[in-house]
Amino acid sequence: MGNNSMAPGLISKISSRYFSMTILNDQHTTKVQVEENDLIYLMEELKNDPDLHFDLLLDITAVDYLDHYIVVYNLFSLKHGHKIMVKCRIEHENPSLITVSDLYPAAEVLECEVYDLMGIEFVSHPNLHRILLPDDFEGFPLRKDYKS
Amino acid sequence: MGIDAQQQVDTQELLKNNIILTSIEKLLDWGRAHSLWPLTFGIACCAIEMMATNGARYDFSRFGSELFRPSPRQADLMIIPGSVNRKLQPLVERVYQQMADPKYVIAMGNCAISGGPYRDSYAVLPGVDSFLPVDVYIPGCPPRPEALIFGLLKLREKIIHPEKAVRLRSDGK
Amino acid sequence: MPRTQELHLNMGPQHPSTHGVYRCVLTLDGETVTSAENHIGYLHRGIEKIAESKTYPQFLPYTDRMDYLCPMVYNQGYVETIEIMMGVEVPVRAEYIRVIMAELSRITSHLVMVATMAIDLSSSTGWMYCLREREKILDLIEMVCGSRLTVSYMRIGGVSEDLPDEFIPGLRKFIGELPAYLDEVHELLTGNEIFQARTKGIGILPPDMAIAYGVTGPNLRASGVAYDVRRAQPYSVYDHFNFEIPVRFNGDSLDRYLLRFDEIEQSLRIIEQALDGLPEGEIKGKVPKLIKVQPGEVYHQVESSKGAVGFFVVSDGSNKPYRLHIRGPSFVNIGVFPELARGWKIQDIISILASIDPVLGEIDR
Repeated sequence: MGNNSMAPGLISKISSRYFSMTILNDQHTTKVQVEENDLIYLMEELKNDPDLHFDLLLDITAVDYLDHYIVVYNLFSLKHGHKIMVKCRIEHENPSLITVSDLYPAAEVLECEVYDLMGIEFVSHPNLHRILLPDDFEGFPLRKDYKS
Repeated sequence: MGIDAQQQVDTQELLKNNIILTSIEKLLDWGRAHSLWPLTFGIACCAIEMMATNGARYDFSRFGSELFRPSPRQADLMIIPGSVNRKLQPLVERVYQQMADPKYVIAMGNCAISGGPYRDSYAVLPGVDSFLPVDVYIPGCPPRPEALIFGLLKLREKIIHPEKAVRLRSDGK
Repeated sequence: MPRTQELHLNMGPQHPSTHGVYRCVLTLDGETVTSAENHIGYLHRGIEKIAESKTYPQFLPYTDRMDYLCPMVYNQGYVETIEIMMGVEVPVRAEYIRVIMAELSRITSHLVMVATMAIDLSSSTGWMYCLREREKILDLIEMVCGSRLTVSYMRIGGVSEDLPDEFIPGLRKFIGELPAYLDEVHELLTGNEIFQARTKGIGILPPDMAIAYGVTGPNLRASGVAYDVRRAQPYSVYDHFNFEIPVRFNGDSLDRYLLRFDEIEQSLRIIEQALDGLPEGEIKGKVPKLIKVQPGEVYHQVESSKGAVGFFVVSDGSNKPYRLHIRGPSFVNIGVFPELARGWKIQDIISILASIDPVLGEIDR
């Protein structure tokens, strides 16, 4: 099976510029983790830099680790054929994160789903609303402390 | 008083055994049973088997269900193929209420009967009979087209002989 | 100058042409759509939450019920994700069988797309023709795994049953006959003046908009972008086969429709090569009795008939997933529909929606 990981030189080129970025050790794919304040700058660079050129946002999801959340972005570059998984750690109390829907319009529906099921607010999202559950639903089902 | 009352009772007896009225009712029941027009309401995976039943191999139309009518005003059978969740429930009820009497409901598939594989889910209702009176239950996940046809024939039997089964909601009403 | 009043029209979840319980609220100025709003969630079943309480093998039947038109590909994506995490080696015969079944599933899904598009545009004969062909494939699938629709055929480490003796001659006969039947459908639909008038030049999706909105699958390839997970991120044994990625450049409904036929042709090519090269051997690899996955997370993609399906599994070392997320391609594809629908007449948006081919099971999960 192909790997589609990024070339190591490329990834270390970007990591030096972001204080909070760590490259995670993974044999399957390139994975990096950043903090909230660096996320939007990193995403902009990933999209706009011609060597990186991550033009396709595949997926946004979130995982509840009981004392924090990790929001996971999966990006692919049609031009270079490499992919990357960007993880962003956020607080458990009133979780919120800046939206990436200005860069990637695909994020509009994906972030609505994460908000609906996990309760993470995406700041400056054009239309954040409950997309899968009824509007009057109480609670966020995919959280670990959800009781039906 | 005695003779008038007796005459009234006699008339009532005659009316009850009035052969002509009973025959018309039976004729109408026969007509309804042999021309049930379902509503197009495909919800989930069972809907694909419902579509296949309507196709060329299993051919629902030879049992009288010539057309699936999209408008509830023109349909008299509602087949519920798939899981109903809380968001969809008021809409299913509304569509059911828009159908004209006499109307029948078939719960197709395990999800419509009892919630199926999603019974533990926070979203899915445990069966359609919690808010609709169901006439025939067709188990399966999904039931084969032959099972759906068998269900339709059971419904036909039920319409022609209404004393065979009483339609109940799960709360007993 | 007199202005018409804007009308809000609800294209409700109960509708013959919405491909399931999809609701769209349209704002109309006369017959022209000025805006369309998606409302989904009427089939939300909470599958991702259910996954957290089921063991890995127990979750497999839920994967068929998400995209119920192309279940083999979802099975394949799920078991491959677990196999990657566990480091399980799948025997080559099982991989070849998986590819054959996945391509058969893809063909059935495209046939349903053509059938529903035909009936949405009022050609019920087209519907009957395509469903007739699909029944033959369902017979073959049932011969192998016992079920027509919700197959649950693959297992972690291989497949559940080997191919019976009648399968291969039956499949070869079917592959020989299908092109002639597809020509019949072309004669009926594609060349038809009315069909062309209703689909040519309608709902043009420019490639940069498609990429920006995350559209994948035939909808993206009909706009000229040759992205197919089987070629870009090869999985299973797709690198053993010689096949092309069909691309069309107009991006209208007609191209999206014609591309499905191109894909059926390529799938037939792959199936023939897989049958010719099918090796003997085991159908299940070495897998422990109790499936426990070591801690970690993997995001794996496969190509279904709707686009790129993603499985994201986070494991904490036990026999149940800590978090399982599925990226349904139709969920992202339907996000572009309000943009595509703007400015067209109400009859045209039926053709646009049919050509996008959404499946509500994977939109709502």
